[in-house]
Amino acid sequence: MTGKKLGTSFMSKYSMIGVLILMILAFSVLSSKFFSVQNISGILLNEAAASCLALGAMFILITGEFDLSLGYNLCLCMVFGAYVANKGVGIIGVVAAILLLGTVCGLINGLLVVYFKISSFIVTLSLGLTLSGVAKALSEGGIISITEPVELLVFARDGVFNIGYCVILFLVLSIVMYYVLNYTCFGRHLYAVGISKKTAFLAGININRVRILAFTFAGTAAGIGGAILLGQLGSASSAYGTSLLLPAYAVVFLSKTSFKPGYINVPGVILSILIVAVVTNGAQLVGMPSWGNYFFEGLVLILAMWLSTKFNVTGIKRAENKQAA
Amino acid sequence: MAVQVKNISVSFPGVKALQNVSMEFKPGQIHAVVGANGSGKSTLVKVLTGVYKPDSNCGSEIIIGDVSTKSIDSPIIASSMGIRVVHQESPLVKTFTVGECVALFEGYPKRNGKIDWKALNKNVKDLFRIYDINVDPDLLTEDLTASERNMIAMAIAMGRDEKLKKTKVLILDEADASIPEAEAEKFLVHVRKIADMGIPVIMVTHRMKSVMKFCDDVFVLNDGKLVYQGLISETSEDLLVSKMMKQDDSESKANAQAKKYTLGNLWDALNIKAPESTNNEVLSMTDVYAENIDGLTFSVKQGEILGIIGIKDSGVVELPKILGGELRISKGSYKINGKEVSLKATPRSIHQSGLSLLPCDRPVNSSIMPLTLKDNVLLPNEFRFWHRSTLSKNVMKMVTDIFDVIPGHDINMMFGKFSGGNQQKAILAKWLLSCPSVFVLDDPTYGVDPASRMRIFEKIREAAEKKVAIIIFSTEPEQLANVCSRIIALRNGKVAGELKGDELTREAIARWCYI
Repeated sequence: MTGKKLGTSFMSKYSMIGVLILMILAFSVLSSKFFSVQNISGILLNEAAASCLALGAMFILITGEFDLSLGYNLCLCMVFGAYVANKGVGIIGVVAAILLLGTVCGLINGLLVVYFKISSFIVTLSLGLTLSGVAKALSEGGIISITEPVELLVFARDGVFNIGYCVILFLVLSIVMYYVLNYTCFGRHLYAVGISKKTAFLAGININRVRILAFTFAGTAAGIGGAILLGQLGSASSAYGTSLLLPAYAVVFLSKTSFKPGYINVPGVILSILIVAVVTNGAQLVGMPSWGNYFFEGLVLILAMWLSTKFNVTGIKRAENKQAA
Repeated sequence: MAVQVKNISVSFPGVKALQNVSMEFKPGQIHAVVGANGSGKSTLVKVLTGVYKPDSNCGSEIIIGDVSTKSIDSPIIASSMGIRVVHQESPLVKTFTVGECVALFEGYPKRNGKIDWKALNKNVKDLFRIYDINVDPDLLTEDLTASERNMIAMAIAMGRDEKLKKTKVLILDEADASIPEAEAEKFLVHVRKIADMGIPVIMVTHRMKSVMKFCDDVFVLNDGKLVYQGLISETSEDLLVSKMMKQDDSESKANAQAKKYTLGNLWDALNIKAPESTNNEVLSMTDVYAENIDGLTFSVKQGEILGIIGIKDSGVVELPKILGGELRISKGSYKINGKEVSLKATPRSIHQSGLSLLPCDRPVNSSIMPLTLKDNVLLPNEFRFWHRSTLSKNVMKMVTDIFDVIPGHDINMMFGKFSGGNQQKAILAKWLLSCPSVFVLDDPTYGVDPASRMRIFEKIREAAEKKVAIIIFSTEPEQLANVCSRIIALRNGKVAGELKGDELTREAIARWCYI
């Protein structure tokens, strides 16, 4: 074999950074409004909720599962949060309620997937729709607005040094995630279960526990995202937030193309979020019509999936045979 | 038209699967290619069928009729060159009729846009007539006998009319392995008929009796080299078997390199105590019933190396999985270290009771290719010390030294990049790290190169000296003669025989296995 090392070359690890820089330069040239402090900090703020959701999606995708309920989970957390906020429970109550709900929904998801042994695709979708129904009921089919707790609104909208508080929260969470994935046994177990359930099982890892925990933590992440979005919008309804799911998956898949090619990794997710955000925002500034948004997001998702298969490491056997040739 | 291969060498990192092999296959003759597991037989077939390419600098040449090429780039090209192959596993779909199976490959004849079943059946009958096959196209595949299935697979591979004219060589890649010996003759008679059509046949097989009875000449591969070739009429079964058998491991024991560390060092570093001396049985099974196991009783003592052999369906495939906790027992007593193992045991609980299982089929059960060497070796023991970086670095240093894992300096290299033999050595370490009371190995040397094989047996002996009880299941029974102190043979889910002491010879074992 020629020994062509898949993905260890400088280019394959860092070329996406080049793509980001290229995009920033391009849009700065195309639109004078792009490269301003206001715009950039606005971009980051806008992505905060979806980014937290993406961190949750990482748990799911690394373990080799699929969770279609995350978007609905986030939405329900927003609605529930707004509901209790209007009951006057104060910031701690609201945050606690949201996190608890998100975590519990994730846990239920995990239990259903593991013990019902039905494909995670179908089970999570069904649960998601159920959650959506609850959200509709709680919001009585309309929009709930909140004016308190003020702390939540400030947290989600303001920041220091032009960086939003919620953006800082995301950065902290991503550092935690990085640590968990690379320095804890649980993180290694996630990868092990995701790549080879059989081997992990025979090595004595409690596969069911790992999977249930993955779904649970993803639910918590959905809750965090929901809290942020609630603070930003100042209102909640059964229609908000559900569209954040697929972009979250897209950036997680796209993360396979940089820093640690072939593996879902945290720096890769951050880079991918930035690229997608820059391109979306830039396109809007340049004058893309409003229907372009969905069309564009779908396109990015397809592109992300295709790029990530180019960097797929788990297909190593086939690659080896090709290289033996 | 003769078929020739010249100077074929195929290498993978750390392993030379084929070394400068040249063979000539004459039309009308059945050529046997024999060799033990890992000798390079299937690599040779893969080169001819376009799955592997020979090393670029070895001067390889493949000559089919009047076409000469350096390498065959894909199975499609191989097929267009007239190379036909029948594999061990039948390509027929169990729930289809014979006619439908043939149609999968030949196409469905259509009339007025609908499938013309009458024409289909006629086509199938025509095809079968060429090959003298007497099977009704309406029969379901699952009702056929194994030899009928393989004959049909052969007929499909060879084809008729245009396709048949283009056929230059037929390769049977252990196609007779799935046919019970009694029926195999029917199949081989058909193979002879095909050879009589003037086509060279290459038969890769394990069945020495069939080779002696049906083949014209034979090539013996051993560790990637062609060590013997000649006419069947001029050789004997014993000679061929002796050429096939791998190097005697006991000689190489003397040449073992000095190691810096021993297993004892490893266990000390992890604060694990070696098992206490005891005369009791460390593992016992009494009257156990499970899948393919009907009333099995045996036991193992400390420091013993027990080999378990048997043909397929004797329970020898299921037993290691039962010992390891993957399959459940329905009835009977299974004790490790005197403690009864629950009927609901899992691999995790069995590992904690002191039994480690090295599973068969490494890519599926033992290795996670994309993760690193360190991740794989420490997988069962992560909570103990994977995250403690100094300790785990030391442990890995000792592991790569003791178990001779090459290259050992970079513990963060991707596991999939190591050769099969080195992966297996690492996995051996994975399970021995916890110093089990009983260590079960399921087919530890399958697909492993000879040097690694030697090391693995060395380590097994070392562990046994440290009072670990060892049970080895192997499909290469000749190897067991060197290592085991006792061997039991399974048949129909029970113990059918035991060999120990003087009776324990390679020949005796081979007799039990190649039945």
